[in-house]
Amino acid sequence: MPLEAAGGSPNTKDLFLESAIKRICRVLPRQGPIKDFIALNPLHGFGSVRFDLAMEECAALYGGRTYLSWAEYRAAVQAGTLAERELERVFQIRETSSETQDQVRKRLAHPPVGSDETPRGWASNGLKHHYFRKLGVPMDLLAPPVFFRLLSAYLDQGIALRPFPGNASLFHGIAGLVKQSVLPLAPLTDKPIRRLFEKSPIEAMEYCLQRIVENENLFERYLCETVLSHRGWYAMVQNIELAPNSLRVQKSVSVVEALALELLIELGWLLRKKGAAFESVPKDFSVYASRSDKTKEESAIALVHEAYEWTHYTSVFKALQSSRSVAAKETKGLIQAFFCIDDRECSMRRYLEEENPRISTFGTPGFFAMDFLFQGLGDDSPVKQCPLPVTPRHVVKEIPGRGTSKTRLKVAHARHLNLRSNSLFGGWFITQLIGPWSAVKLFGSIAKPTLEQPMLSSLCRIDSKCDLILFRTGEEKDAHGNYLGYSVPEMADRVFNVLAKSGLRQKFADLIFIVGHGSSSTNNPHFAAYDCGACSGRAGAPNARSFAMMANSEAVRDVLKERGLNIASTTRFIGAIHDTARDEIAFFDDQNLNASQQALFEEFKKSVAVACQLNAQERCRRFEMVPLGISPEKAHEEVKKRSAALFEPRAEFTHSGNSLAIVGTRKWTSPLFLDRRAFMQSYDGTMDTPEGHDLQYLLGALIPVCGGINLQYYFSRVDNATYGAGSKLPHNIVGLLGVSNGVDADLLVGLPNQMVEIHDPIRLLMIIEQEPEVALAAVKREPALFSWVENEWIRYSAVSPTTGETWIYFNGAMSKVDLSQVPPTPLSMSSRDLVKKGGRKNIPPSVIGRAQ
Amino acid sequence: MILALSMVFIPLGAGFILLVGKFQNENTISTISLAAAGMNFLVMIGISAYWLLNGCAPIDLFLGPLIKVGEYQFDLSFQIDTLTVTFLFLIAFIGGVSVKYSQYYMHREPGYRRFFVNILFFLAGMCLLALAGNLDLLFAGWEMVGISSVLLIAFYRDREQPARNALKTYTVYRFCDTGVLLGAYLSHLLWHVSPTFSDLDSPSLRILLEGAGEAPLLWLTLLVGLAASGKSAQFPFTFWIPRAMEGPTPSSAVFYGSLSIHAGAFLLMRMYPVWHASYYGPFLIGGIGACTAVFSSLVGRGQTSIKGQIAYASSAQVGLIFFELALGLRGLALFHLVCNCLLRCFQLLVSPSILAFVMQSQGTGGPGRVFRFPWKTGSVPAWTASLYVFGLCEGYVEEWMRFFVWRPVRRLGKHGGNPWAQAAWLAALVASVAFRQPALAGALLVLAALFLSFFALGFNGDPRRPWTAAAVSGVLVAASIAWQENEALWGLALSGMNTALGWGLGMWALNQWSAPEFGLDQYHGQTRQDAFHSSLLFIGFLLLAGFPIGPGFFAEDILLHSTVKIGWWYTAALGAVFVFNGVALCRIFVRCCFGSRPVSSIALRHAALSSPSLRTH
Repeated sequence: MPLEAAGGSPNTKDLFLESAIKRICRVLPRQGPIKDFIALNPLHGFGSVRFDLAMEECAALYGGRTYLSWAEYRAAVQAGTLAERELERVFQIRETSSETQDQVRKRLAHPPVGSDETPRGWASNGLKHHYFRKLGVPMDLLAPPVFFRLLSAYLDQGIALRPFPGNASLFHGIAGLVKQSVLPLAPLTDKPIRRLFEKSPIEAMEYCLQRIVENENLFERYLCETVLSHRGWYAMVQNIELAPNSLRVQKSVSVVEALALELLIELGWLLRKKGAAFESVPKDFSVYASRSDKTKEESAIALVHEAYEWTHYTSVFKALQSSRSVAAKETKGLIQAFFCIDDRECSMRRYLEEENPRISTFGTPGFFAMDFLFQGLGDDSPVKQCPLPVTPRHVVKEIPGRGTSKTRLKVAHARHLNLRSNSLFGGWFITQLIGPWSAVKLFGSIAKPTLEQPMLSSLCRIDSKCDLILFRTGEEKDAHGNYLGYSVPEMADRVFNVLAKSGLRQKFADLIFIVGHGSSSTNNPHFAAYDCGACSGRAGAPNARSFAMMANSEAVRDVLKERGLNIASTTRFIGAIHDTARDEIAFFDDQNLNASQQALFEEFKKSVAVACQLNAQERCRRFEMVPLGISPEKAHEEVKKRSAALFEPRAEFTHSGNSLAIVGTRKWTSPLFLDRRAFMQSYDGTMDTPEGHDLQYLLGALIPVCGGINLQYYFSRVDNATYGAGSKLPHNIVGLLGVSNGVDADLLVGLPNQMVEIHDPIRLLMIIEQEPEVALAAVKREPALFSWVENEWIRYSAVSPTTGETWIYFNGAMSKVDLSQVPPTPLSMSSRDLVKKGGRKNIPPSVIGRAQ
Repeated sequence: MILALSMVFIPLGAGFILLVGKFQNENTISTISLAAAGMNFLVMIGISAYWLLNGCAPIDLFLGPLIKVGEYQFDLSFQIDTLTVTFLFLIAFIGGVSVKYSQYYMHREPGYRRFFVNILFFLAGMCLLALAGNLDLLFAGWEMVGISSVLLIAFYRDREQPARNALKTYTVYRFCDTGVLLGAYLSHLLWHVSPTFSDLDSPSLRILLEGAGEAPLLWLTLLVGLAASGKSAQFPFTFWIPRAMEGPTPSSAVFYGSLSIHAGAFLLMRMYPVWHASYYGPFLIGGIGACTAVFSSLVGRGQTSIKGQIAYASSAQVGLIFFELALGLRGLALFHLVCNCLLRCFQLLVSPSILAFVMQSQGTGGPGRVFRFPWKTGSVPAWTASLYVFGLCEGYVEEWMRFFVWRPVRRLGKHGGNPWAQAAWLAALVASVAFRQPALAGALLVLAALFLSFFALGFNGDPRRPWTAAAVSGVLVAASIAWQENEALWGLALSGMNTALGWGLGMWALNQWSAPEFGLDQYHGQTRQDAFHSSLLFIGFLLLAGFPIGPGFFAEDILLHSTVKIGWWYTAALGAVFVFNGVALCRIFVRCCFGSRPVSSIALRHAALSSPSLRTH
């Protein structure tokens, strides 16, 4: 550590502190305002460390669990989801000593008592905890409430009726309050602290550190613990610092300012409680530490976890091998449909194809290469509609079309949620005016939930009667330098990327559907986490609609023809949106079809209707309150009711169960029942360049999106109290920014328990239908992506299309996987059979025998 | 009659069945609860019909005395009038809806059964409160509501914050409960009977009221006002209401949005003839109401969380209801109460939708409202800044309370341990006994009891010591009263029995857990480790705190009525001991049983200097 060097002038000290804060910020999850919730790896800062080593570090920092508990693995052994043969395999791969092997087996047979006790890390049991305890100052009760209150008051986006006065940045805004207020704001208005507000934030922080910590070697540690213990708010601050536009009401804030503020509060309380001569942190604070070494147990549980993952992986590999041998008949795709890679579309596609063999489906990230900001009618400003790593350069706007009224949506419950009813005299009138009406509403919402409830329906994100400003002729830009719409070559690029890289270069059907997805839910602050991850947590309707409009354009098709995609004039693209909670599909711009297209369209709609019901039925088996064996019609009613019910915290289970990302042809995966656990990208290895450039392109969106979702679910599941948001039921929305438990508490990060409770935490297994060398070369060319693979945050495997052998990345190379010990994949007549017999639990991969 | 009784006993019985039955199946639990709520609704309709058929006149139901000691008599009497029927409708409707709501909402939540048991006990308490014909009975319902509130705030008992806030709420409740307790006593004192609420309206009593003189009526108004302000989060007790939003959303909606927070206004309506008979009464109540309305809306405007907003808004509206009552607008106040009750309940239930609502109504994207200020950066006018800071600090009421009440009490408790003080006390006691000065001896005993209470409240070490101190303190007061007034011997006997039982149960549990580091400075989360002994401690707490499950509840009343002949300072002392003991006992229970296990019992890991996060990779 470069601490010794940092003694000299204040400037170098400031630099040292700034760089220390930069290092510390790695521990923060990247989570901004909850309206834009995107599932990301909450431990992305550790992405450059191998997974198992990173887990040890995180356990020490955050406390809590990074794997399941011994008892849960023991249960997995009994349920058959953790096989002895895979434990052997892991021992062999990891070259485990026989001593450790015995220890693992013993633990697994007899889970240690009290193993549900989660360890505590720096966040709650570090230097600060022991220091303040020894001093006898209950700092946990003193400083955080003031800090949270100030921060939430400053950042508030519209809950408080009285806004924060002034428009200075956080530190200076508070300084202004402290300076001007005649009333005390304990402890900041105390004289010694008030004076410190005249310094810059970093100087004030340094002063506080000098007073409290004294020992410079411990500055970084002290700051790190401060950030860790309130990481919800610090993550929000960091996110706003990085992306100020994510707020509706602009605020200027930085981690440095927030830290300075918190330290001032802490110093203020110390001075109040202990006087000016308080004792600072002891130089050798290891006096607090009675070290106990638990790493051995951690590495042991890491091995068990790996075996648990391998049990799932190998069953999938085996299933893919079997599906290879099932001679899948070539479907004559009269209707083609593109769906999002999302694991929730996995079953929808299966049912559509099962229902009507004339339909063939493709998977591609649900933003359909539409890298734009979208501004719907009535939106104040455009919002991003593409994956996080993509920086959009285009804006698409919705404008009123023929037959649209100006007011787009009737906002339900406006009167009841109107904050004016919280004022004194306004409240007096409003209360008496609509009070009795609430009783009717209340009764109605319990007796018969309808879509009238306040909700963000994915279907009303876009109005098909409106027009889009999509086509650009010149170089028009908006105020922020973004292009207004796309030029023809730009559009052709995007259409080409989606169609060709998914392996659709010829045999275009007469009707091609582009189906985005979103999710309707009620009374749900985490609604963004239910929508399309590839659209940055929004419904993919604008993307699907725009793509279809582009692909239908004559000019675009002409350019595509030059590039080898010959789309006949009889082919028509239709945009659509699938509501994954309600299992409904709505279509855009479906007028003016010719007779044969119209017939196909009716046929598709009929299949969709059936598939939606069957899909609802398959989802319903996971809802405990719904009886098993419910009919498809009833199931469809049930899921619709769920999405509209105020009292339903589980409108859907979203990505629960996700564990696979399969990149390959549909022919290969269509005979498989994967129980909605796979992200599926269409890709035809035979059409790719010998170096795998198409694959490289696809991985660019796949790995961050699928990997992010997978790890977010992983950590929220293994320790919901540490990495997740806890139970949804007591959540309180703070400042329209996030949720917390009660008032004056830290913001909660991650996913609520109700979204992840049925999830099996398994790292994403990516399976590429390609020769192992090509697959490895493709990912290696992108260092940022390769880091995920190399450090095992996802597992990367390839199945050779020629030999059918399975290879997995391990220790720098692809190595062959031996599947001889794995039991054969069960065979079933149809999805419906499996669902009927499946009960509530995960159904292991099966081959559906209809092809025989 | 049977209807009225069943209104209370249906939810109570169902809660009890759930509690004893130890059902694990969610369906069974929710079916029983729903059935109880449904039956309750039907009974409510029955009662309303009966009332309507009787021409909407107030109906008195007198069941006879439950207990009679000397002049003191605890009557079981119910009253059904407009107020009762309105309130019963609210209870049955909101209760029914919330039970149905929670049936789905609480699905798979650990503590499903506990939640419904609490809700049912709460509903039973509310029904008793609404039906009660006199203050004594109302007090029983009042206590039930209080304790179930506390348990639901601490529903997520593994975390410390809900536990802490539950204790905070209990403290306010307990403090204000004395209002009802002493109010009941004072009305006995005034009329030498326990008057039913309908008596209060009768012409004969009105004459008595007018003849009573201003001072006792004002005292009564003060006490009732205190009780009502605490329960209804009125000034200066506003601070607990946003803190209480810790449980699942439906419980917050039922308690702090609607029913519980209006219980204070209900009490005021019940006691309306009394405090309106006093000349200053309406000014006092109206003053509290107006003060709260202004205060809560000032503070509430700065609340940044949706539940905090609704909490303060509700409190401000109840303030207006108080004001309306003071103006004599009973009809308007009742209508306002019903409206506020329903609206806030619904608002809290849909509060998670606020984000969706704002996004739908104001668009999804960037800066929707940028506030323009007339002043420049950094020069916020002093009054704006001060007003804002006032809101941020929630009007400082909590600080005041801490500074003027809790800090002196804790300090006194510590001084009680001074050996010189103890020696002096002993000498004085011996002297007073020797010189046959029972009054002085009694006063000394009461003093000791008070100090023991204070000690119990502030002590941070082994929980057995404050537990015992609180128990002894209760008995000491009883003894000192009984010494001077033989009628109170009954009270002493009951109190002794009650204390012995409660203390014993608690000590049994606390002995199980005793360990050097098991102190009250930390939360110990014993409910998770040792549910059986935790529930023993809980029962012990209820008994010692005089909750209406044991003889302690009656002992409290009997003793109180015996103080009539001794002097008001005994009454005051008894009230103080009642408050501080209750809080001290609750604190012991919460600290021992809630929260997670303390750090010290888990081995400390990775505390060495080598910092994992900062290793360069």
